[in-house]
Amino acid sequence: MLQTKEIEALFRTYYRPLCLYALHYLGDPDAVEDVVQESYTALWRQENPVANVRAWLYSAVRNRSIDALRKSGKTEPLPSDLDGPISDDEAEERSALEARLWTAVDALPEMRRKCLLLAKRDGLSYKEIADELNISEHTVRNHISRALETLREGGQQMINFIFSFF
Amino acid sequence: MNQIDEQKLSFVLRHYRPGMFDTQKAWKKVSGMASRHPMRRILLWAMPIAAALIFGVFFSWRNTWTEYNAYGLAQAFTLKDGTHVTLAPGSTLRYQPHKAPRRVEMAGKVHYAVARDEAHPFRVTAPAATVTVLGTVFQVSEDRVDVTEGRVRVDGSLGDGVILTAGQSARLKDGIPTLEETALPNPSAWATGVFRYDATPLDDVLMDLSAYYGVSLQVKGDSSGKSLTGEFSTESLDEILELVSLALDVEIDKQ
Repeated sequence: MLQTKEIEALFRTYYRPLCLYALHYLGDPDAVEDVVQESYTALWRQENPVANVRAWLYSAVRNRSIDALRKSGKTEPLPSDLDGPISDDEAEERSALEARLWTAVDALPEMRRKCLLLAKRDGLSYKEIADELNISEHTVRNHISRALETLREGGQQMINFIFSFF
Repeated sequence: MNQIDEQKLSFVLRHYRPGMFDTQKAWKKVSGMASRHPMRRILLWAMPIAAALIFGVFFSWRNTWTEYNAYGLAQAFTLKDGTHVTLAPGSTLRYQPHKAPRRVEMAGKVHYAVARDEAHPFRVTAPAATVTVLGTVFQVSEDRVDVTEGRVRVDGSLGDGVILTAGQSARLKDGIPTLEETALPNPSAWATGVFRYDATPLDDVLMDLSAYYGVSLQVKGDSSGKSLTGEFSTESLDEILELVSLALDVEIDKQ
């Protein structure tokens, strides 16, 4: 059985990527965390040693996500992107960078993040955002471009970071 | 940033909510929940110990002895099975009410009114004898057994046992119980507080009272043919003597 310290390390490494991975299946951030946390709890309770913990966790999250989807009546539970279904491998592969991006969004200065989300998530125009936040359209544009810059840099750094392993 | 990265960014932004997928928070939740888990491991080895403790407590509870003592006065107690016991001064009785409610050990003199239970014989172990009964009234002391009602079996440490019926007594000498012909009519008056006579010859009545009060009682004149029927409280010898004198028209000398 795994020790608390080992589980904590696995948590720090894979929790957010697994959340993003589950999000590709479930499409609803609210449903994601229970599935991932249950998977960790199940790993903890494993009496037998697990050879590849990362693979074990991904398949536990996948199985639980598929179960959840089946329960809600979906006959063909597939992972998807905003544009439509993607492969399970792709969802798994993307989840690491997406987790990194999620963290980068967390770290954005408050105003930049607000403007970015209102534009990209909620689909508001610069004008609408400017009105909502009582700032000029110019400032909105500025915030968003700076935010995207940071995220892309972050993403790029992440990719460099990955390549530095090889 | 290439096309696929833009897709990833869009996906993240579309679903992003501040404070969500918080690793720190989630870890606290899961480790808090799982902190019960080490308990489960503790339980694995704690359970046999707990079980042993519970068994131990249970058996020691089962094996608990209840002891009764009578000091200056005769004292009456009711045992778990409903049997009434009266202990003469200086006597003790003990038993295990949860393990063997119908097996008592005693020393001194004890009067028993045993609750009837055919399936479970009541057994008295005294220094000189073991007495087994189903449901009777009798008395066991260091050197004798007296039966008031029913039947009892008396086994000494040697020889064959004897069976006593109502009104019979056995004396225990050198571990051998022998039927006693000249039994007192009320060997248990000290416990019952009553002398009960049923056409009892006057000589036997006086012997009974003499034994009880430790005095010498003699009839002045002829006592032959005179017998007594009735119940008398043990409270006052003089009152009894007065009643007997009146009833049988005799004069009794007390010394």
